Amino acid sequence: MLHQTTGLKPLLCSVIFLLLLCAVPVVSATGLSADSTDTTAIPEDHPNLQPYETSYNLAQHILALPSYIFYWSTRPLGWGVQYAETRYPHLFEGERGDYGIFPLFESGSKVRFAAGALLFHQHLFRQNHEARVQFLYGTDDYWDVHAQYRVPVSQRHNSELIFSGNYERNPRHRFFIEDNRLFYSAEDASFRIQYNSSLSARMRMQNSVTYSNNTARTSSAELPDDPFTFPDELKGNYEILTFGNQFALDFRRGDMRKVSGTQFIAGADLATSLKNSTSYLTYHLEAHQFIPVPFLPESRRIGIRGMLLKSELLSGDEIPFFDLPALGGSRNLRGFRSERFRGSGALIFTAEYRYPMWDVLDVTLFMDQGQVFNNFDDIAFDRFESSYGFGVHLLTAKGLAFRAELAFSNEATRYILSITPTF
Amino acid sequence: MLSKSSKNRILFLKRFSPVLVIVLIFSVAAILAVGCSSSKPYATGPIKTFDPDTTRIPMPSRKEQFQYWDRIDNSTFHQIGKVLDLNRVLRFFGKPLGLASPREADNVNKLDDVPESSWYTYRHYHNPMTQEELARGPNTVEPDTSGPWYIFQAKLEGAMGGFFFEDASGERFLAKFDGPLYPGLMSSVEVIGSRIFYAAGYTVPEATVAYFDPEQVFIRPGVEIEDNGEMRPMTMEDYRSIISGQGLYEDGTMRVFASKFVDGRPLGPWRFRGTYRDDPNDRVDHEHRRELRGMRVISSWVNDTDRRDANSMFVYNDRGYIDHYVQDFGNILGANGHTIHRPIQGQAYLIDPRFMLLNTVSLGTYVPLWEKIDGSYEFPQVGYFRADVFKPGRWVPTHPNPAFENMTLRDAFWGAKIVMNFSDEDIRTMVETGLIYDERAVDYLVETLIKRRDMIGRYWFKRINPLDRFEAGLNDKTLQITFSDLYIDGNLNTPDSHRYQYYIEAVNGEFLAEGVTDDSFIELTLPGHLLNGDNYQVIKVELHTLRNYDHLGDQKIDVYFEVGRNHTRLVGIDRDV
Repeated sequence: MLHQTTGLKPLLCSVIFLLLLCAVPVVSATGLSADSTDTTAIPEDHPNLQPYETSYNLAQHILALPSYIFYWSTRPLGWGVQYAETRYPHLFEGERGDYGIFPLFESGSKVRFAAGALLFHQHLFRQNHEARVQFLYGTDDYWDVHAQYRVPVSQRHNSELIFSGNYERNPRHRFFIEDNRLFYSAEDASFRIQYNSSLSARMRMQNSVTYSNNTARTSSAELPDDPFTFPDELKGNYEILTFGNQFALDFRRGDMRKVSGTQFIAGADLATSLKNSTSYLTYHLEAHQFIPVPFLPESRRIGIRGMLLKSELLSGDEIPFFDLPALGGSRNLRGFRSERFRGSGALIFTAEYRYPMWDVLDVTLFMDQGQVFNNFDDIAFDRFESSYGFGVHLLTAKGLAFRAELAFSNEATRYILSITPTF
Repeated sequence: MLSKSSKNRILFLKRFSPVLVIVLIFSVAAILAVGCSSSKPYATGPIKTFDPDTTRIPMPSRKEQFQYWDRIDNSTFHQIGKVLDLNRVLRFFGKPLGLASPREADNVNKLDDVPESSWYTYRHYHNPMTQEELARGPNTVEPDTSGPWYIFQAKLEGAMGGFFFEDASGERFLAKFDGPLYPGLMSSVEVIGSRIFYAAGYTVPEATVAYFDPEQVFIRPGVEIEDNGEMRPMTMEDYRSIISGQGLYEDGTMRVFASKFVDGRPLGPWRFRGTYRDDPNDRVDHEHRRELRGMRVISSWVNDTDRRDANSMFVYNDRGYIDHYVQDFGNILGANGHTIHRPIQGQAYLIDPRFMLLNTVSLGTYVPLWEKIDGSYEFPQVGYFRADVFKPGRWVPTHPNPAFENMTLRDAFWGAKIVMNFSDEDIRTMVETGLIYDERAVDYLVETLIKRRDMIGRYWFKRINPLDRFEAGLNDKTLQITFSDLYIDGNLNTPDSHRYQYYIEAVNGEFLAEGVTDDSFIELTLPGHLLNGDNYQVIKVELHTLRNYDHLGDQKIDVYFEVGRNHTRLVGIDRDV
């Protein structure tokens, strides 16, 4: 019986409540008409002395309750924005100012939570000498620091010198052997000097020299009874010096929203181990073609990319595994995990249809096809891995600011957030 | 003992009762909310022509002016909040089913008009203004350029450069400069906008285009300017930086837009939503004020794309109450502040989920209007302002405006009749106050405004019957009713294209007359008993417009007259929508 009363009680109460509600005189929400309807009105009751008023009856308040709750739950954000507008107006003006600091957060990836900051200065030491330092700390085993200093070369238009250094510790770096995912602990440091220059209106060149120090160890994520463990022969420390060179021939026209035409990129990196006699060459060839869709505005365009990467051992035993071409990740075969496929060569084709969603937003539908190989003879149609998806690109006058994509493959569905364009 | 079926029912209730309770509460609330009480559609006492929101109050505190939050709030959270407001949702779905009516404005009288208040004054539509009055607008004084100007305050708020100065006569003004790429544009639209909105009935600051000697400007001691977040004394170098890029005329003068300091104490911007808690006179939610809802039509006419909270102002006046100013007309006509309007402005919001969704699902095959037209312009002093791409019913400002969003057909009609009331000559008079030096640009602007005005009339007057200005007179026992057809008055068609069908009865149901008339005049002999005695009788005239060319705009209008022995009076207008 107790159950019976507790079950009916709310209903009974609600019926009584509703009956009471019905008894409440309903006032029109169309306003209290102040026009007199009383012919015996005395001057004090003249409608011009009766103010209008917006009023709502109880029923209308009940119906509006969800919006009231939502309204008040968003007010603290408003107060925050107003405070920020007062204290940091430049944040709202699309300008970063000459220097500043931005917080960085990362959650749910290698560690539960990591935090850091991005510091930048647009004119450090000299006018237009841009510096930025970014650090992110999760645990003692998971943190990284990136620093960069860009120096414009005044004698040459669109030329610059870039000094950059990185240090990164990641105890759960992914590594795949066929379909098995393994982990290793990586500690990587590098320093790079890069020179970018425009040789002509259509030709760009990039030269670089990079020193890197990479260590691969057993990961803390590896369990003793795992059937597959990171191979011992891949563990160790690698010290490598790399000289890179890249040329780009750019026959594209229009701004990035209405781009059409072709771009060719060719480059080669010569790497030498500082610990043994290993040396190897990695070259890549890349072509981008942008085609406007007929009968529609130029902002509807199809982008096609073809890219070939190949590493060739010149001397020594073998190329360090982390320097072998890899597919999978945010820029190719996006439906697969990062560096899912690795070989001495990689071939990737991408087709994207990009069209405007809004002023600075593009929608993109894409299809990636790629395969890794060790010899050119291994390349075969039936070995291509497929990935497809869609996304949204946020554009600025300078180019891509941000992209969010959802990619699918036969192995995974991946959500990609990136500030780096695919091509 | 309970039967098995009873147990099942109890278990069901136990399991679902909270949901049922909520559903029941909302259902009954919905019925109560939709079933509003009704009142007589006419007044038997005086017609309300004034809303007494001018009672003396203590001066409220000043509100900070923010440039961004209202845009973010109205573009995102307000849009979500609208969906969560079940009153609005029920009306939205109930309207097509005939179960709900539009949420009409709260401050309209029985003649479907807005009484005067601290927000709105009867001007050109109610009391026709002369050409001189239209040209003068709100101005009482203009800056004295015969002597030096003294900067007494730097301009820290807003996007455009300027300063506050005191002229030789001691009058105080805000000076704002044109964008360097469009000399004369912003200053002219500011002045033209002030004339138009003033004549429409709104309270606006005084506005003038002035030519001053830049060498005759000095800075008063103590004036501070913000520099990298820090305040420091303003210098002549700062002044020169503000005026840099401004061209000099042959006589060495420089052009500036000058807005006179308002009488009273500015207290910051008012909002297009809710009321101001500190003002006990402010009783009507702003989004439900007819003059703010109907402003959308006026704004659409002049492409007033930046009509939002930040461009308004509360002013506590010397009489002890708050005046509500509409200000900042730098984003109307072809100007967008220091630059010019883009084709998308007026066509869609800055962030417009309607078009974003359409663009996305159409896979790019839908090409919005603004992508098909270029943003070119013929006259730099006019900027981008066109009539051929204007869509009166679809016009929106750059950011959602809660009052504009609530506009109903009746509100739109109110706005449209104000716009249509400006004659070609009125428009030219107001445009000429912008001192546009290129006569061809003036002609273009006038012509475009006339075209847009007529497009507004054609659009809105086809959606609601545009009969207005009803009057009645008694000649012995003959009642003579006259009215205006705003469609014909606006020269949107010839008089012979319209006829009017009427059906007249006393409100007690007694039939009096029916017929069709070719002109806007009805005459009928009233039965003797209606005019006997000292009491008044109310009669209802039901009117339809019969158009030769289409059936749009032929909705019914019920007009109520009070008739007595020696007396007739208009007491109510009820427009069908």
